[in-house]
Amino acid sequence: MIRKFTIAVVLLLIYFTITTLYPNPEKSGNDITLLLGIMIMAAYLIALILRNVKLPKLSGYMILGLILGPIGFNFLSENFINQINFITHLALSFIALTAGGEFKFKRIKQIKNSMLAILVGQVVFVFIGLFLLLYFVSSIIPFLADLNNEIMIGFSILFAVTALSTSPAVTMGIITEFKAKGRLTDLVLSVTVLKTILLVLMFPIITAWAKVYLLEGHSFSWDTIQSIALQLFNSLLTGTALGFLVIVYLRYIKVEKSIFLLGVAIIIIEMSYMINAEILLTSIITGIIVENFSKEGDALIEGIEQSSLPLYVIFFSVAGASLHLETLKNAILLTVVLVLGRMLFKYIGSYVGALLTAEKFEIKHYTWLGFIGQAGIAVGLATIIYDAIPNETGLQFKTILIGSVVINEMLGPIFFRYGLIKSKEIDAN
Amino acid sequence: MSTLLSLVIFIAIAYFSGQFFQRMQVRQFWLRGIIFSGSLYILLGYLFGPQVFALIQPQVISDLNIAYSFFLGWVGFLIGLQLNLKSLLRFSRQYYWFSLTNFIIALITSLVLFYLVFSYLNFEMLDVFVLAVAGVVTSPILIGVFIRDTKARGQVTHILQFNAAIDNILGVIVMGIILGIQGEIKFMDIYVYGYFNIFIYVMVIVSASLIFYYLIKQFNTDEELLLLILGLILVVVGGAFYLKQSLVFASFVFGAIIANLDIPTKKLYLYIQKLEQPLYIILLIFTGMLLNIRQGFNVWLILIFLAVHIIAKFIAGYSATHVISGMRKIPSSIGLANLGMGGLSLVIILDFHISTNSIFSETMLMIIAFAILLNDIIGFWYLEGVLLKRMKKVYDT
Repeated sequence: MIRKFTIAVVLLLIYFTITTLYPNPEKSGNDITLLLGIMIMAAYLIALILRNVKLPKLSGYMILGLILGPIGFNFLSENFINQINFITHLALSFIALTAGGEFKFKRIKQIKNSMLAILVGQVVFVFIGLFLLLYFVSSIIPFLADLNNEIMIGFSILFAVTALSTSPAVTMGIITEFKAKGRLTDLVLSVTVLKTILLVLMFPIITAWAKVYLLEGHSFSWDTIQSIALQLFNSLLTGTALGFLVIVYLRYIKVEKSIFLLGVAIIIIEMSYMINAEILLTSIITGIIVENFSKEGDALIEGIEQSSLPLYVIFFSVAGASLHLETLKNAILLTVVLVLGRMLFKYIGSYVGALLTAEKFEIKHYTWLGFIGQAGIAVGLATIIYDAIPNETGLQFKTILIGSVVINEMLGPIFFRYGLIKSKEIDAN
Repeated sequence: MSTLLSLVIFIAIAYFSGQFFQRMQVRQFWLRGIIFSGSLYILLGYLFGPQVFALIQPQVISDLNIAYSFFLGWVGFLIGLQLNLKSLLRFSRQYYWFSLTNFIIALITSLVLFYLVFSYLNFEMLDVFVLAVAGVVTSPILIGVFIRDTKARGQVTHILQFNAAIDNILGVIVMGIILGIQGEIKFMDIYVYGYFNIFIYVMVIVSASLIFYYLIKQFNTDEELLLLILGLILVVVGGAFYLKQSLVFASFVFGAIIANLDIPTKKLYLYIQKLEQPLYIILLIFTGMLLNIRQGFNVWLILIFLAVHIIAKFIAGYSATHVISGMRKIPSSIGLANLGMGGLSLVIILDFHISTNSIFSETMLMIIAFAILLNDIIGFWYLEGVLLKRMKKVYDT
């Protein structure tokens, strides 16, 4: 453990020494390749160290990201993150392809009732519960008490819907890392995939709805619905077409699977820009098609796994670097209350869903642990809120929203691993 | 078109053209020269690049910096990984002397002749040196194809293969040293000569090698192995790029150190080698995209390079066969068998282009791209039309 830590430190020292001794401000970006290599190696080493203390590797990648990010040494600056944007997009597409590839209709049939019950339980309890909690708690919090009702409703809607989301990246990352298998794994994965699809579709509508309250003179437009329908259609079409293309390739050509799948991921990303398809949705659909309409599902997962590790390391390290930890200190109390509230409602939602379908003890009590990791969509929403309320209050809202994502994102992998251990779907060692 | 989509096109072109060209069976020496020189990939790159169909924009080429730095690093790493001293010591001393003499004489001859001609065109000494090194390295592909197809055996084929391998190694080393000691770089607040930072640069490579040595025992799966190699090659190449050093040489040294550490490298070598061909094809296509024939095409430069190259190789082969004892059975025109230049010459120029961005690097790239084609054709003609007959005659008697 000490040696691995020493190596990670040596790697960081190499970067620090080179860039300090040979400053090159006029050609910023010259260090990208070096930094990328250092980040991959150091993140993986930190992850291996954390594994010794029974923490998931994903947490290690994120911690390294935090250390090297803007709140730490600032090696992973915003400029760097922007420049390797295409790698993080690739990773996201790979993660979603794997999630789709694990979405097996045969298995889903066996857990259909529980899956739907937990999904509905989550939507109802988390959304309504958090909306009401935030709405009522605002009257006793000084900086919120003076706000008008409309703004409070708008913020509560956005916060509640963000809290509903679960990060498919964390879910897939943990399942892949620990090779988890079992009923809880299937339920968490399937509910996460369905929730992601639902949220991707519903998000623009909900945002438009929240804007009615947040922005003066803003009204709900049917164009939003049309645009969503078009996006859904484009994503379905692209995902299905690519799914069958992958099937043909994996069945008849077979060679260089990883490189081919890399190409598919890139096409998905490009289509998302060109024809307004959604990266996550398109990738998930491609994975689902390959898994359920052919016998090539395992080949798909195998092809992705061969080359996904470096992409995962980069993705989660960048995710760590993008967490605005400094915002937490500004509204820590309310943020912690909301994070705990989210956990409570996640637990209640999952418990009620499992109870209604007579699931066993482990499912009732531990499934919620798989839903803690939160998707990073909150950052975009926070900007909407700040645009709507460009003052101290808007900043506080933004802080709370991002702060809760920071905590949930860090806790998500740890909680999910714990849940899998408790339900005996992975080995504790 | 975005960087990402261009990358897909890149890979798709590389893959499908690779499949197509590999299936082509031809007998004519000139057609074989065209196919095995990789010129068709360069042509494809040129057609799809900014100059003709513009499927890939110039901006994309610079955006793909990380990708092609990594490709160059991979090539250097693979060459270095073959440099296991224990297995190299199996060969007779004569072979080494022969190859070394051949390389040095070819390099000096090229250098002098190129300097006489190109200095008139305002080429810097560094440009001339790099051009000479790129010309001296020999393509192992041409010789490999010749041996495979003719099933030729004996001392001549051994020496040809050995010489090509040593040429490549020496070429990378000389290139690394030249780029290492040239130019100026800002150290803290002052500008210092390039060789000043060699200590830091070597430290990075040695550290990467030691890290590899320690971690290879703990990274057990293929995915972890890929991560380890990828991460460390990026560190080595990234360090070299930042310090304006040769990317190929940096990863070559990294590979060579690893090859001589007390770890099993055969599995590693086979794993790395799997990606060699696709990466090489991508490099050829990339070269084609960088070519700007409309602006920089100069048939005289190509012909001068070709003439100097033939003279230098001939003199080197002739001298080596006469100077080194025990090489009497080797035809004195053997230098012409080493005319094939192959991918490493391009890699050297690309490396130079990336590291220094010299104003002549694009012209040099154009010269090498065309010279590869012509040299490989002449090389095939000599190997199959002249050398094979001589070998038969020698071994028959």
